[in-house]
Amino acid sequence: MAEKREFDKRERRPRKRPAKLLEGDTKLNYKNVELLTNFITERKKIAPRRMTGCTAIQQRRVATEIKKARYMALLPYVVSHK
Amino acid sequence: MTQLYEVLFIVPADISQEAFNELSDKLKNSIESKHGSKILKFEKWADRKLAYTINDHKNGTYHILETDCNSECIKDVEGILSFEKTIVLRYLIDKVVTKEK
Repeated sequence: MAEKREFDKRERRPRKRPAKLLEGDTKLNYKNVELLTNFITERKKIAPRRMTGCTAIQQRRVATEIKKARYMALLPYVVSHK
Repeated sequence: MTQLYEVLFIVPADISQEAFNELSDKLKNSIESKHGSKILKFEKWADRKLAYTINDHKNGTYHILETDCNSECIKDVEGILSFEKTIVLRYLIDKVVTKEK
């Protein structure tokens, strides 16, 4: 009985699915600023995986593209209070 | 052995046309005449408000340069872009990964 319950617990956890925004032929690129804004928080931080629903591979790629976009002044590093 | 490169660089929005032409001529000369490589694309990408000020500039014009060249050629391009500090605010050289191999 106890064994069965443990099994159920394990089954309940759904498998991580790729982020919906990155489905299809959407191109993740630092120049695609509109897409990248979906992956940053209000304070312009890179959003964690639990918010974006990215897989680990996707999250790494999103992070590097955001950093490139920041360097090219397409996205801000911090929120300016002016 | 050549590689596809994509160069994105920012020039100030209020730059004179002559100064920009001079820069683009330099780049074209270096790639096409000196190294004999191809420029696949050289065009304006966008006029944008910068996300933060760079050297007191608030607005910038983004230009894209796509080229199929070797590593020495791209080093020269980088040299030109980094030397022209008043005209080029930022530049980013990106290798374009082509899936077909």
